[in-house]
Amino acid sequence: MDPEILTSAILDGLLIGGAYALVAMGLAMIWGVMEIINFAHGDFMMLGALFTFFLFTSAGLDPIISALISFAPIFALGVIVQRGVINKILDAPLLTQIAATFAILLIIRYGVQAAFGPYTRRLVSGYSDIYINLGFTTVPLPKVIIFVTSLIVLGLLYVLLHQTDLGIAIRATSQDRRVAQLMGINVSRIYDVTFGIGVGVAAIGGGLIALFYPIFPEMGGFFALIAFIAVVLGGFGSVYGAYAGGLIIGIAESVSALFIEPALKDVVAFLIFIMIILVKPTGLFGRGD
Amino acid sequence: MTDRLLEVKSINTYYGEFQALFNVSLHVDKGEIVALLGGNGAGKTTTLLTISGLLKPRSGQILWRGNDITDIPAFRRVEMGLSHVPEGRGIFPKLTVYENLRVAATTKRAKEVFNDSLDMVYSMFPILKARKKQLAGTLSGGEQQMLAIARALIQRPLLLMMDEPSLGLAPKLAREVIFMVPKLRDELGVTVLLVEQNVALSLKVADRAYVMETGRIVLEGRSSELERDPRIKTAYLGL
Ligand SMILES: Nc1ncnc2c1ncn2[C@@H]1O[C@H](COP(=O)(O)OP(=O)(O)O)[C@@H](O)[C@H]1O
Ligand SMILES: [Mg+2]
Repeated sequence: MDPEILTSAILDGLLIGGAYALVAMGLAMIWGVMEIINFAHGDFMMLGALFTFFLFTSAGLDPIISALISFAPIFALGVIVQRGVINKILDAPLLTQIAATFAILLIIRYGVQAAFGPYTRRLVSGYSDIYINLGFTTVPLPKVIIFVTSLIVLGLLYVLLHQTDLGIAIRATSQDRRVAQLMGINVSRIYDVTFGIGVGVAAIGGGLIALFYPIFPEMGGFFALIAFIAVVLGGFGSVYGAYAGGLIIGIAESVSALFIEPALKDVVAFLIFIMIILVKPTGLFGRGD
Repeated sequence: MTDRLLEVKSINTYYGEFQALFNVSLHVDKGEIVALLGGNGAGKTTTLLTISGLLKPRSGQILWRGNDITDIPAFRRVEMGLSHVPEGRGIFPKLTVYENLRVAATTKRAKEVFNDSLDMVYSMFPILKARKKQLAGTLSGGEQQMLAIARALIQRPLLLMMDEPSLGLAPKLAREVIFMVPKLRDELGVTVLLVEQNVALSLKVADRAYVMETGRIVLEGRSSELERDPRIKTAYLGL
């Protein structure tokens, strides 16, 4: 095989992996701190994409700025959902938790469908047709943007979790929710912030994915599954592991598309998932926070 | 008139349908060292958890400086000056020693004096300063206990509740930890409610003590009197 083709496939997968990582990091954070699997995670991402689309088309705002702004309303929505639903099921049986977050998924997904129609929308902006020439290959600008953003968000989350009082309190709460209260930490406020940040970051991911990916009410399903696999890959609950997991899935999909029917590339993620479950159920990186 | 910090009035606490505490009443005055003694399963930990708010009593009242705090959430009680070193130490194993101390400074007051508090606990426990960047989970049991105590002191408590600080420590270290209690009171002015199974040592450092059995307070009095009480001698001092 031509090494240049392989290199470009790896590069393309890496960039797409940035999108997966953005969705996966929040899912990992929510699981790591609250031990809740947020089945609606991809739908918060979709809301970010839709919000970005409307800010761009109605207000004429730059789509990248719009995607970053989408963090704010989705964060707020996340806090509302956390207070209204998640907080009440924290100690409930697993099945109740699954049912509750699945209900949130349905409400968001079909609420959007009812409000804005079942249409597929495309965000066509000045960024859409710009390619960056790297000599041996060219890469589309939107994918570079999403990858760079994912790195920045990763860095910001690191700073938040390790350099700020709020972040240390979040990590303490994730390790022992009861003792955290003895420290004077208001645990439900920590959960508000954690859930808000988790879905807010996914919304940024959705907004940026919209630069090169169609927007439709069910789009979150695929990304949530990929994010879930990335979280498992990354050792369940580690934000950094989930980030790496997202990149690995992106690369694996893209490289495998060189060898197998491209339509089957989604299967690759599941093959990775099954292999991890069989070989190293604690994930590639263990859980390190 | 005495300055009553804590008054527990006839609390009944349950785990589901299992009643763990039966009409437990006790009080702690400012400047006292009070021991809460009793064997395994007597209800000592449940009593402390109810006082700090992690468990809600089904009936009864907790008064803090005369005010009813029974319905106030646990994290707010810290702000009022009530600190609890839980059984098993409860350190955060994946935070560094420094982060464990920092995370305890949640109130405005504790944050303002954090640097002074840090100097204070580091000079009290130099080993913590030497290990400040190390993950707390890698400390030895004794070091973890020191960290747990230091962390509570960072909160600048009026009342410090300690749940079996000597548990799991070698006898010499266990002794050291229990004998640290009067130092905390005399040098830092904190009032202490000490839960222990080590009755002999605890009676030496405490002013007063309560003895629990199967969820009830069965004896109370000044330590000097309890040391001579025949029931204590046979049941706990092995005499
Ligand atoms: N989480 C719990 N669930 C049910 N029962 C408990 C729980 N914790 C303690 N108990 C029971 O409550 C009683 C008092 O326990 P505890 O307060 O831990 O005693 P102590 O601290 O004096 O050893 C015991 O019978 C114990 O088995
Ligand atoms: Mg106990």
